[in-house]
Amino acid sequence: MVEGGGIKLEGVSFGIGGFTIEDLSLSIRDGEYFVLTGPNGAGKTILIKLIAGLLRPADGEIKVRGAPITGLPPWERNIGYVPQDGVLFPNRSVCRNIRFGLEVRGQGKDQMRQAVERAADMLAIGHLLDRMPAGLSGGECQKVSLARALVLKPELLLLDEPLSAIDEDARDALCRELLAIQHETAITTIHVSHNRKEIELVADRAAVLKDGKITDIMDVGRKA
Amino acid sequence: MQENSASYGRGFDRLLAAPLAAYLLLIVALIAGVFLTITRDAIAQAFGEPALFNAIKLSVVTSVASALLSVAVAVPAGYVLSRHRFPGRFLADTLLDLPIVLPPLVMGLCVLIFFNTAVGRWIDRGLVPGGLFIYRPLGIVLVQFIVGCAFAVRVIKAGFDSLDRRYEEVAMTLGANRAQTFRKVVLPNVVPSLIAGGVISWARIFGLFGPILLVCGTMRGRTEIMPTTIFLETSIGRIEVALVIGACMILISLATLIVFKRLGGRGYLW
Amino acid sequence: MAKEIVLVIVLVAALAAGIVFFPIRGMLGTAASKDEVIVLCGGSMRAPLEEIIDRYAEVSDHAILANYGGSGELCAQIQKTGMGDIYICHDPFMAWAADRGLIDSWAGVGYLDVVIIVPKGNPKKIGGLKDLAQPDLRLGVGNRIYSTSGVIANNILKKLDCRDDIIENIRMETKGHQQRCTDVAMGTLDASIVWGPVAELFTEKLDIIPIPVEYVDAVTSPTYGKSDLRNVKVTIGITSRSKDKPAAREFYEFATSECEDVFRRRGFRTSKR
Repeated sequence: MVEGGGIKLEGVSFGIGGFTIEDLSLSIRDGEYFVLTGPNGAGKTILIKLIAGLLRPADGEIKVRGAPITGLPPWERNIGYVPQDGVLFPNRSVCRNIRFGLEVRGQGKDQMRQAVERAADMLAIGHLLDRMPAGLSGGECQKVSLARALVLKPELLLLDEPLSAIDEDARDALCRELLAIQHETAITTIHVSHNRKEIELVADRAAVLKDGKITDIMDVGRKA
Repeated sequence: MQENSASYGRGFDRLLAAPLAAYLLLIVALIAGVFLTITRDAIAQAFGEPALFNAIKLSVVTSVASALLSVAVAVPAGYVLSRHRFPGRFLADTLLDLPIVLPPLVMGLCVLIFFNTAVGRWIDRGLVPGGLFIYRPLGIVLVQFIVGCAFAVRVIKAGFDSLDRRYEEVAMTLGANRAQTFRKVVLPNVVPSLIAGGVISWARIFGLFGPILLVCGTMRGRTEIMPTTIFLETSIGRIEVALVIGACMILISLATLIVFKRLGGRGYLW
Repeated sequence: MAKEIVLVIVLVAALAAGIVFFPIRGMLGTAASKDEVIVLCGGSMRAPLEEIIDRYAEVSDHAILANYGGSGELCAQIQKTGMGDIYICHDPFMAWAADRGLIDSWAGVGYLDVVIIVPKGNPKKIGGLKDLAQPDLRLGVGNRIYSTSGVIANNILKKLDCRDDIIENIRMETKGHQQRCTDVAMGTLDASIVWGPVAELFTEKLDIIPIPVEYVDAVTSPTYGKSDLRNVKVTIGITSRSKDKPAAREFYEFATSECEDVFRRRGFRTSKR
C-alpha cells in the first residue's frame, strides 16, 4: 500500500439550500472498493460531486494519491464518474459516447477504436457499439457509462447508485462484473448504494452517511 | 387520426379537433382570398418593374441576416439565463420580454430617439459620413434584430432549460472544459431549439414594417422591403399589385417554413 | 448531425449569394451621399413628386431618394433624426417645422381641396353632401381633430342641417387618405372625404364628387395656429441642415420653379381662391 495513497478528505465543509456537510474527514485506501451508504438526503451524491469537482467545498482539502485536487476543475482531475441512470449523450452512438473523453484528449482514430473495443470487451457490450442510447435498457446504459469512464484509465472511479435502475436478478450479475473489473484495473472505487446485498457483494469497507456526517465505517469483507 | 390513443372516446377527440379545423379553415380562407383576387395583369405589372425584385432581395437578405444574428446572440444569452442565477436576473429576463410586448412602432420610435442623442449621433454618423443606420439598409437589420432577438432568446432559452444539466457534468468529468462541453455536448443537443428560435425570429421580422418605415424610410432601391412595397402600391391605388406582393410573401414564408421543418429534423419545431 | 450541417451550409450559401448579388457596399453607408438628395414627402403628394423626379433625372445625375409617410409624421422624423434634405407637405406642417428652425426656405406649389369619393358606379347614388346622411351609409373621414382634411370635413359638416345623421354614419376616422380610398374601392366603406389629388389616383375604382366651395370655411386648424382652410397649401421646403448642400438646393429650385404643370395635372389647384 502506498503511503498517502488513495483518497483523503480532510475537514471538508459544504452547504447548499438548508443542507450542510461540516468538517468531514475520510480516508480510502488505494485500490479499495469503498461503499458509501445511508438514507435518502444524507448527502451521498453531494459528497461524490465534491470529489468529482462538480461542487466546490467551502473549506477543507481533498487529496488523491497525496496530491491535492481541491482547486482543480473537474476536467483536470483524472476521475471517472458514473451517474445514476448512466446519462449517455443522446445525440451520440454508444461507440461515440465511450470515446468522448478520448476525442477531447485529441487521440487518433485508430487509437480511439482500439481503446473503445477494449473497454467494450471488458463489459461485454461490443454488440451495442452502433446503437443509439435511446434504444438501450437500464443495465446496458450503465455498462456503457462505465465503459466511457474506464476507457480514460482514471485514478478513481465514482459510481452513484449504478444499479438502481436494474432489476433484482440482473443486479447480482452486474455486481460481480463490477467487482471483476475493479480487480482487473485496481482502480480505487467509491460506490454509492443503499442496497444491503450490493454492499455485501462488492465492498471492502463501507461508510454510513447521515445528515452530512459519517456515523460509521465498517469492514465488510465481501462475500464474493 | 393516428391510432395511438384509445379507440374509445373518439367523440371527445373529434370535439377537441373542431377548434383546430375552424382555425385552419380561417387561415386557408384568408390565403385563398389573396390568390383568387390576383389577376394576370397585376402580376405582369408587379414584375414589370425592377423595384419588386430589389425589394424581394432586400427583404430576404436582411431578414435572414437578422435572424442569424438574433440566434448568434440568443445562444449565449439563453445559456447564461438558463444556467446561472445572478443578481438582476429577474430584471434581465423581464427586459428581454419588452421587444416582444411593445408595439413594434414604439421600438422604432425609441431607435429614432436614441440616434438623436449625442451618443446615438456619433454611432450613426460619426463613424461613417453617409450614416450607418438612419435611412440606410443596415438600419433595417438593426430594427429587425432588436425585435427578432427577443423571440429567439425565449425559444432557445427554453431549449437549454429542457437539457439535463447532468450531461454537462458528465462531460466535464470526462475531461472536457466548459467551452468543449458547450460545443460537443450542449449545442448538438439543442439544435431543434436553435432552428426553432431562428425560424420564429425570421417569421416575426419578415413582415415587420412600421418601425422600419420610421427608421429607414421608403426609398425605392435602397430601403424598400416587401412590406414597404405593399404600402407604396396601395398608396397609389394599385391594390392588386399590392396583393401580388402579398402573395409572394405568403409563398416565401410557406417555402421557408416547410424547408426548416423538414431539415430541422425530429418533425417538430415548437 | 449531417442534416444540421446541410442546413447550415444551405443558409450560409444563401446569405453569401445574396450578399454577392446585392452590393453590400451600399448597406454599409460608404456610398457617397453628397450627390444624393433625401426627400420626405407626404403621401398625398407622391404622384407629382414621382413625375418631378423622372423629369429631374433628365437634367441631373443626382439621385433623389423619396420617402413617403404622413406629413405630420415626417415632420416629427426630421425633428428626431435631423436627416432629410427636402420636405414636401401640406398645411400646416411647413409653418410648424419652420417655427422650430427645421426649414431654411419654402415655397407653395399648389392647393389641396377635399372631395367626396364613392365606389365606381356610385351604388348609393350620392350626389352631394346631404346624401351622406342616408341611413346605413358607412362613411370615412380624416381624424376631425388631428388631420387637416378631417378638420375641414368637420367644419363642412357643422354647416349642414343633417349633421347629426352624417356624424352617425362615420365608421372610420383615420389620417390615411390612401387607406380610405382603398377602403371605398374595396367596398369596406360606402363613401369618404379625402384630398382630391389622392382620389385622382384611384379613378379606375372610384367616382369623385366635388364639394362646392361655399361649404369650406376659413377657420383655425387646431393642429397648429391659424391657417386658411379654404386654401390648403402644398409646400416644398429645404431643410436648415441642407441649405448649403448644392444637390439639395438644385432640386429645390427645380421643383419649385419648373413643375407647376405637374401639380395641376395631378389634381392640385394652382390658383388661390
